[in-house]
Order: sequence, then structure tokens, then C-alpha cells
Amino acid sequence: MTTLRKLTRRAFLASVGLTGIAAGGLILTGKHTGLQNRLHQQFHKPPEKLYLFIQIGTDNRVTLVCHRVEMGQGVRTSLPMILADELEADWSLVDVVQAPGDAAYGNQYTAGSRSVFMGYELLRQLGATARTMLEQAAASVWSVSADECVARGHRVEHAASGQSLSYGELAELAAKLPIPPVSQVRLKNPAEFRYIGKAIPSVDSTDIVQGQAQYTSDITLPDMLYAVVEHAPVIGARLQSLDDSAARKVPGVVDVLVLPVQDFPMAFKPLHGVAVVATSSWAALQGRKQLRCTWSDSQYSNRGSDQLQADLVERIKTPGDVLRRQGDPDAALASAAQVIDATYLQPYLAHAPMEPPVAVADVRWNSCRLWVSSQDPQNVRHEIASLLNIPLHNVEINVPLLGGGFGRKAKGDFCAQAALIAAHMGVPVKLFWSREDDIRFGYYHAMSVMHLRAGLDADKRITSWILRAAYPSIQSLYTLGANKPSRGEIDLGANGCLFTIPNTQAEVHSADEAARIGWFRSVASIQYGFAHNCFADEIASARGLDPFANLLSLIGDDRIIDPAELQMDYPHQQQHPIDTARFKRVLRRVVEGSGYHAREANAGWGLAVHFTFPTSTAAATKVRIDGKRLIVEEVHVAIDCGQVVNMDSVKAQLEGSVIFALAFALSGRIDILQGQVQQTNFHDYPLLRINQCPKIFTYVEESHLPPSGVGEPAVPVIAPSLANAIHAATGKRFRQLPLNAYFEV
Amino acid sequence: MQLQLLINQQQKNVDVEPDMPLLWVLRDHLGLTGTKYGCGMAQCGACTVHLDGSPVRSCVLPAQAAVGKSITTIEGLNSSTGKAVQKAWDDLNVVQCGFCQSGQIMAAAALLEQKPNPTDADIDNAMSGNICRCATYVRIRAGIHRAATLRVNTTISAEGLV
Ligand code: FES
Ligand code: FES
Repeated sequence: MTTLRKLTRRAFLASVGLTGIAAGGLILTGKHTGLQNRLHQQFHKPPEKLYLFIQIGTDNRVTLVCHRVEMGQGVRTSLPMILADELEADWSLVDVVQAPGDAAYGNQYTAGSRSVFMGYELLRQLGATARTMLEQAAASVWSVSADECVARGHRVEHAASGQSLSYGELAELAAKLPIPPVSQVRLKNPAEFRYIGKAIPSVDSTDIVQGQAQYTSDITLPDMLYAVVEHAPVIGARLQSLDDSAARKVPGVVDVLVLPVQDFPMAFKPLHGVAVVATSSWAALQGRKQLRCTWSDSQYSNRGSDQLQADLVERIKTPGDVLRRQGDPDAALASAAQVIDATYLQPYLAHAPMEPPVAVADVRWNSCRLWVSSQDPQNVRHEIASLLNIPLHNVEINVPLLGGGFGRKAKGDFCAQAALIAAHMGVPVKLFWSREDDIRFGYYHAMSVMHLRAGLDADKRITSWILRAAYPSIQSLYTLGANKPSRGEIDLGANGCLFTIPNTQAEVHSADEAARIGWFRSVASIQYGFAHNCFADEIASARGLDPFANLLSLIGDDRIIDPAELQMDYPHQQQHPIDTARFKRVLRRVVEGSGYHAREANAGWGLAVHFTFPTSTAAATKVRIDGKRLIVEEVHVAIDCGQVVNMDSVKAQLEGSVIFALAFALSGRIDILQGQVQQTNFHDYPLLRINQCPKIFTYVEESHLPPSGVGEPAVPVIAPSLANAIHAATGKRFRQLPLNAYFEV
Repeated sequence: MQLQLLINQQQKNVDVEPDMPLLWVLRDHLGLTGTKYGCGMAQCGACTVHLDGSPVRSCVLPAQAAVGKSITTIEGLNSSTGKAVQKAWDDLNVVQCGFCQSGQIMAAAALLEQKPNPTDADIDNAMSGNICRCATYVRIRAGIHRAATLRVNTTISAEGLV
């Protein structure tokens, strides 16, 4: 056993690319001095960041920088589309380069469906600023007013004289001009868009289909070694004894080292364990099998998922902490002609991105370079700098393509492991997690128990609606003992229910986590979307109404909802007012587009609608029941996400959301017993396969309202529409996921 | 142990542990990283390559078992069928993260060699061993149908499909 860490000075390695723009990025060609200084300055005003995002070569090619992480959601195409559109660049002359992790690029934390939603205005501004500078450059060549010069399709034209110059010809001159103030930059009207709103193929497609695209898994450096870690079986447990003699005899094994113990709260700390370093991935895996370790207990050792679920089902029967209250729900319940209630259960879930966590680190004296499969490169940069005590500006973080993320890779625990091991070894190290590591040591979507109760008056109007929620909180990652849902989690649903009901209340109960809890595509919207929509369907039955008519009546009149009325932290009201008309429109879309009103034996349709990230989505799902078999035949899904940037990737995200949600609704389940995750790989944590994939129909609202989220908002409507469809087909309610407990799927 | 492998029509000599699966020989020893690791237990298909034209999971195939056979990886998928699948994938923008797609394409190309005009049921059958976590299944189905058409209607030039 050796302990970390000895730092070894190593020769500087040849660059393997991907970082050109950080080292030499500038707007338009020409000499820029003091670039590095400028790179590390704080940038607040968008135009000052211009040179980081747009480069125009004298060869007429335009390089656009994607500053957000690509994990399959299409940002490397959609974000440059925004820049190129305002720039009036010819897409066929555009090259896309990935930014390294650096605060100079602004927010790079790729999560929360925010890349287009939050980046749209800024990127348009940047593109339009560069376009304006090109027009000004042309004006100076022709000695005319810039107002007479119009950039169009990669050239600037002067209509009166019939002259034109290409962007390449103007680049050097434009680079010398001062960056114009925002007030002098005109943004396009939507009617002038060249690319925004169109379907443009992924810029990485051809490389991917030829097997040439590079993921972090594929990065290979000279002298690189491979490492895997035997993790403590329970988070927080400590190594008590280690016999690594057999492991060290495995051909190819170079070293065995112990990664330091970490204390709760775990946050994104590098997990404790025993690392096996070898000359190949296989040798590292074989070596790991030969380790003999014993481990202590941890505070999670006596916790389990079945136990917690049983506790919460009891706890939820009692009043919890009231977070939100409108009217007088107690009085309304007391005077109700009928009260109905139901409890909905969901298990822990694992992200299981196709590429398990992986990072390559090369640590030298006082500097390091990493390639990370991370959604949060700036945070990784900070963590590594402090972990290795290296100045931030000497930590280089490169972000190749991610083989999926879904929230798992927003946590850089594995990147820190790679850095620690590489620092010890003195040569580059690729630290990879096996699928078993990924499933057993994730940051799980919290299991949840949601209880709903509603009162109906004699006319079957809903007079009260009370939600009690209990699930371990993401906050437990950061704060010891934090065991109630945090504000951010609550605002994804508890207070975000858009039904118009006079007396409402939302309560939370405590729930102790048994593992690291993390955000997972759509986060707590999953449990809120499921509970509210399934319960609305139960209310439809109680009212004797068709579920569609019932939902429309629960949503009520067209109106803009004041977030204060929902007692909700909602910073987007200005740009994205909560609008029940948009909410109803997506619902109508799936009903009208599908065969929702048709009736067939052993088949049924179910509906759901939700508002989150702040986008309206709805789904209509058709199932067929064939004896014990449940067949999902069709899913119709509609979205109103405001202005669409890349129509093709919006549709792809909807298709992906449907399947992602069906996977957990049908068969997703992580069990924890005495602190240990029981599932290990795809045979016991099944994902959806092509033979289970329904027909999917997508509906995207046309809109020029500001864009909102796309990657996550459709996830929470799928499972409830499915459960409601099963009710329509069978007359039975299934309130607990996954459904493979009841059906063959 | 010294092994001689025929990979993408080239003889390669490697010195590896005899039980090392072909996947790691390709990725770590030969730098052919187009073939991916997803599970290591024949559950996901990310590691699919062709062995004498048939799809195999390279994560569970000892390299030794491939000696004397012809191995094709995504990097060497030069058949007209393979090119048709790649073009169909491009045309329909099938990929999301892309990590599963080498395996999907190898499985799809093998299917089309067997069944030039597969039904949806044939596709489900042949492709159900390949997981796509991003869930591109709808487009994979469409892509295979399109590749079937491309294969019949087009010729292959040195640069690819025209
Ligand atoms: S890696 Fe071989 S089947 Fe999954
Ligand atoms: S495209 Fe991401 S796993 Fe298939």
C-alpha cells in the first residue's frame, strides 16, 4: 500500500488539440497582445467576450466556439447556429470549436436545460456585434456610411455601388475596430432568421458515425496508464485492511494506491477507495478483482430503501411542514361532500449514461491538464486546483464529447480521483469507472413518497388540494442532516401546480438519504409530475368526467399566474410568465393529434401535463394490455418552449425524454440494503430497448417568445400518462413505479 | 502472449494477456477507440464488431478467439452496406451523444447483410441487444429502412456513397 501523493516533474507533452481557442482565441484575425491576461479577466459585458466566441480567418472560414458541454443534447450545433445567424455567416463556412473550462466564457455549467434558454440573448448579441463590426469595416473601405452596408450571407454589400467584400477580406480590418456598444447593435427580426428555427444536422454526426469522434474515454496520451478504483461498498465507509499482493501480481498492474478517506457531507469529493493502476483497462479491472479489502461501517450502513419507503408511507399520513397555503384547505376538507386521497411511490434511480464516468489527467509540477467527461468544467477546475494546490490558471480542463450525462456528470468526483492518481503516478492516467461502479456509486435520483388529498363539493367541484411530499434532498450532499426538500426541489412542483383550486396546501416531511443524492434529468419534477397528474386522473373518475375535460377544468381560465400567489421563487416571470393558455394549448395538441378519443378493448389512453424549466409539455400515451403483458403503443408529446433554435434537436430531445421516462416507469429501480446499492449492471438495472420503443409523435409549438428549456421538461409527463392509460385500459390504478412489478414489459 | 489479428484487412501483432477481451486490445493496444465500452458483459452492444461478418460483443470475446478470423471495426466498415448505414444515420441525424452508435451501426450493417429489406420486427429482433441511453431508437428504425433503400438505389465511390 502506498499513500498519495508525490508529484513528479514531467516533460511538457505535445498538445492533443481541442484547446486552440483558449490559447489563441481572438475575434477576427490580427495580432492581439496580452491575450492571456484578457482571457482571465472578469467579463461582464457581452461584447467584450466576443473574441472568445467568434474568430474569422482571412481564408473566409468562421470559427465559432461552443462554450457549453455537448452530451447529446445538441448544443454544439444549436449554440453556434445562434451566433451564425446573427453574424449572417454561411453555415458551410463555419467550424465549431469546444471551449475549455474557463470562467471567461461565462456560465458553462451544463444542466437545468439552460444552454439555449439562458444563452440565447447573449449569443445573439455577440453574433450581431461581430456583424456590425464587419459592416463598419466595409464602410471604411468604401468610405460610405455603415448604415448603407449590409452583411448578408458571409459578405458585406453596398447596394448603391454594387460592391461587396467577403468576411475573410474584411477580417483584419474589422479586428482593429473598437467593439461597438450594445446600443449600436441591431438584433434581427425573427423573419430575418437564416438558421434559428430550422432543422440543422449535428456538426458531429459524420465523425460519430465513422467512429472518429473523440470522447474522454478515447483520449490517449503518451505513457498513459489506466486506473480503476475499488470503492468502499457503503459511501463513507473506510478501508480497514488491504491485501494487494495478488493484485500486484496480475500482469500489467503497475501500482495499487489508497485514495484518501472523505468525510460527510460528500458533495463532489473524490470517493475513497483503492486504485489499481495498470498498462491497460483490462489489466486494471483484473487487478481490482484480486484485491482483498475489509471496510468499516458508515452512517449509511443501517439505512435501506425498503425501510425508508415503509417509514415514509407511515410518516406521510401525519401533517408535515407547511410550505405553501392558499385559502383554508382544512375548512374546505371538513365541509367536503367527498374526500379522496392517494399515495404515489417511486424508487431511487441511476443515471447510467452510456459512457460511464471517466477522466484523463496529466499532473506535472505546479500544473495539470485534464480531459473530463464533465457537465461542469469550471467547477472541476476549481476543485482540482484546490485539491492539488495548483494555481487555477495552471489547471487546464478540456471537454471532449460526453457519452451522455443526464446530471450524473455534473458531479466531478471521478475527475478529482483521476487528478489524485495522476499526481501520484507522475504520468498521465485515464481513470475510468466500470458500469458496475456507475450503477453502484452514483448520485441517485431520490426515492419519493407523495400523498395527495382533495375535497369535492356536492357539485363535484374541487375545493381543496393538499400535497405531502417526502424524499431525500439533494441538499444532503452539501449539508449534514439536511433531510427535507430544498427550495429548488420544491419549486419544481410542490408550488408549481398550475391547477386553479381555491384552497391548497403543500407540505414536506423529512427523509434520510441512504446514498449520495443528485439531480437527474428533470429532477424533482419527476415525482411532482407523476403525483399531480395521476391524482388529477383519479379526480376525473371521482367526478365522472373524461380526463381531458377534467384537466381543462382544473387548469381553469386563461390567465397569467403570479408566482407570489404560488409562493414560488420564480425569477423568470418577466421573460417567461406562467401562462395557463400555453399550458392548455400543449394539452389540446396531444389530444387532437392522437386517437385519444377512440375506445378499444384492452387498450387505453392516458394524459398528463406539466410546467417546468419553465416550459409547458403534455403527453398522450396509448397502451395495450395483452394478458400479463403491457405494451406501450404510442406516445404523443407536445412542447411549448418558446422560440425554437434547432427544430431537429428539439424533436430529438422529446423522443429521448419519452424513452428516458418510459425506462424508469417500466423498469427503473435502485434498491439499497444496509447502505449498499444492490443493482450492478444492465441485467438488473434494465434500460429501455428498441423492441420496447413505442411510436413517438412530437408536436412543437411555433413561437417567437423567448426560448425556454427543452432537454428535461417532457420527462415528467410520460410516466403519469402511462399510468393513466393503464387505468383507462384496465380500470386499475398503479400508484407505484416501476410497473414491471405488475406487468411483463 | 503474441497474437496475430486481422483487423480491418490489416495484420496486427499484439502482445497481450491471453484472456484479454478483443475490446481492450482494440481500444488500449491498437488505438481503435471507435469501439466503445458500455457494460463489459454483453448487455449493451456498444462494443459490437464484426467477426467474419457476424456481429459479436468484443467485450466478452477473448482476443485469442479472433485469431484466424477477419475482424471489422467501425473504423474499417467500408462495405457498401456499412457506408449506406452511415449515410442514412447522417441523413436522419440519428445520433445524440453518439456513444452507442458505433455498436448500433455495426449491428445494423450486419442485419442488412442478412436481410436486405428488414421489417420493424426484424429490426427489433436484431437490434434489441444494443442499448441507446439517449434513446435514438425511433431514428435507428428509420435509419435502417433508409439504409436498405440507399443500398439498392445507389453506388459507392471511393469517397463513399454518391
Ligand atoms: S460493452 Fe460489450 S455489450 Fe456492453
Ligand atoms: S446516442 Fe447516446 S447512447 Fe445512443
